[in-house]
Amino acid sequence: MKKWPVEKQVLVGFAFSLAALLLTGFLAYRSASGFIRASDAAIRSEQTLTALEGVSSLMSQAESLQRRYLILGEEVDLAGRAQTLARIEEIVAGLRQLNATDPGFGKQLFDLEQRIAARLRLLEGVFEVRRTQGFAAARERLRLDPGRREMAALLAQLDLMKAEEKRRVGQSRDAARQQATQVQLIFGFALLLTLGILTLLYGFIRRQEHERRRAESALAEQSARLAAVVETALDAIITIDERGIIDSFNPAAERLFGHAREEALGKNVSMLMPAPYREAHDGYLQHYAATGEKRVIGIGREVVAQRRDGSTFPIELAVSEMQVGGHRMFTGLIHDISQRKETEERQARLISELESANGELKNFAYVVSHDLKAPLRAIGSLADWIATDQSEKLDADGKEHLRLLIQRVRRMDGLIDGILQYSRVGRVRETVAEVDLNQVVQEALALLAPPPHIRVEVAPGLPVVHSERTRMLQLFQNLLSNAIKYLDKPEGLIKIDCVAHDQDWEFSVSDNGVGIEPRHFKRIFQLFQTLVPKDRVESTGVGLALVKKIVELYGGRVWVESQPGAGSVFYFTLPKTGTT
Amino acid sequence: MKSTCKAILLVEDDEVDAMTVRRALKELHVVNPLVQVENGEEGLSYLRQPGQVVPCIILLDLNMPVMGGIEFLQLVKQDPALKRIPVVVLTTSEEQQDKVASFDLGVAGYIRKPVDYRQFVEAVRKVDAYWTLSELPQ
Repeated sequence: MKKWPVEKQVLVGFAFSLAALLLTGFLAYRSASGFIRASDAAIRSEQTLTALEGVSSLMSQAESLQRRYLILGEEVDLAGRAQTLARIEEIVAGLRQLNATDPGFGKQLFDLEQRIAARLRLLEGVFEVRRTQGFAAARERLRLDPGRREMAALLAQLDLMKAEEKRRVGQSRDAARQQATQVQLIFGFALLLTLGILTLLYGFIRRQEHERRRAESALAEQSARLAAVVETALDAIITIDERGIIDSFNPAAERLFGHAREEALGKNVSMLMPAPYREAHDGYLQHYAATGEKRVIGIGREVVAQRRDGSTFPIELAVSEMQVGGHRMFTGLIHDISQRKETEERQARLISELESANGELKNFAYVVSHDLKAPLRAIGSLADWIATDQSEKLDADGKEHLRLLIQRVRRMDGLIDGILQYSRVGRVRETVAEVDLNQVVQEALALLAPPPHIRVEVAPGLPVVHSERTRMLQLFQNLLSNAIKYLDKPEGLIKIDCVAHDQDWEFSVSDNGVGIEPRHFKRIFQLFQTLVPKDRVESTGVGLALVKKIVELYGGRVWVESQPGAGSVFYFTLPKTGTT
Repeated sequence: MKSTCKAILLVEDDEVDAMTVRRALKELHVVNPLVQVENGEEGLSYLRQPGQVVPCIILLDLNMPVMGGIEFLQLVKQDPALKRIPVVVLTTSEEQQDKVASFDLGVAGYIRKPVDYRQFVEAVRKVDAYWTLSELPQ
């Protein structure tokens, strides 16, 4: 029903009411016919009744005429009697005609006629006797004949028929009244039905109208909203027709291009393009119209646009095609990307600067390793040769100075190696692979070869991590080497442990060595920072800085807990997910 | 060295490093004559002199002016007459890329010059021992 158009629904409503009217009309017609028939029947019965009354009174009249004749013997009465007889015949014929369709009545009428004939015959007999034999003989005959009885039977027959007709009149009247009531009812019902249907139709049409109006106003509101979207959009929105003529130009377009709307409307859109594109644009449109090949339509593209003052700027252009009222239109959505372009250029510049800085740093490390080390080696070698070749000429002081000189050369060599190592972390990448830390720790211990008075306990089942093997080795090697280097107890104990957390592993390397004062906790992780004079313990101050750099490169943390004199625990974490 | 008459070619620009090599060889009683050139280009022109007897070994520094060690190696290894001479790199460089490039070019060894002279003597002793043992094509 819902899908049907309104006209159809209304039509169906009218059809219904028409059908109802036809039906009630038919019923009313039938009832009215019934009423007429019943009325006719009533009238007929009344006429019959009247006729029967007439017969009854005529018969009485005939009898009284006979009596007069019997007594007075006047011929005039005879003429009256003939007239009466003729009347009775006429009425009986009328009765037969009136009730020709009723066989029951016909039979009764026949009986009545018989009785009338019988009665008249008796009367005739008495007449005959009076005329021929005189008054006394007639009176005798009258006294003897069954005339009185016969008359009583006739009257009884008449009464019966009258009663019957009276009943029929009542019946017909009842029927007529009933039919009349029916007609009234049907008309009343038809009126109500028609009223009801019309009311429903009215309501329906009203509702439809209301809905249509609401839909119209919703449509109007929606188009107003759409218009507002276009009007207030931050991006320029321009529509053109198939020939490239500007059809709409929103405020953002006005701001962006510097053209007023009135100025732009009706012009070719190519006026918003700089030189080489301006001339080509009509060609593009023709090409598209001819081939349907899409170069910009449906695809966003970065192009150059031109302002009213002739300056150009980069835009992102998205063109879409639409069909409006049978015409092909194009909508261009234009976003100014000057700033983005600038940012991109700045970023590109920064990246290239960073790349060159990184390259320089790489070269710097290389240069340091070669060019600082070569003279250092020369100094070392020459000092060695002097000490060897001139040993007889040198006194104890000279020999001691040369020894110190060679020692300092070695220290500087260590420092340069430390710088190189430190700079290599994160700069030189090794392949990332599954690294079994159990193996790595054993390898580190084998390289360091701890003296026999130090016991090293490694927790079983260290994890396998996704990282660079060399870095992991450096990590444990530096922590273990520190632990060994600063162990001052006759019985040293170094423990390596690992605790699994949700996101990461927490490793610890603990010792019972000299320990560190809390105020140095930060310092020790800085490059070249040492706490003990280098002449006592050879240290470059690179180890922990390297540890920190490696751990942080992998997204972990490193920290220390320590009690001076009792020992230190170095903790570091590595994320379980592995890293870069 | 196996063939005591053939020369050892030292391609090295640093005078003290050259002295170190010379002193170490002397200390180890290596009798082969030592020819020193200051860069790759000089090394090539020495090797390509007409009638030149090729040296039994080349000791090559990598970081040199005019023509560095890697470029020298590339040219030597392309030369059918020179490509079989064993080359041992003697360098300061610890860079992975130098090691990879050297071995890609078929060097016979890669020794990092130690700062300590005694260690250097030990390194040269081992090189000499090895090339005394190893056969060389004629």
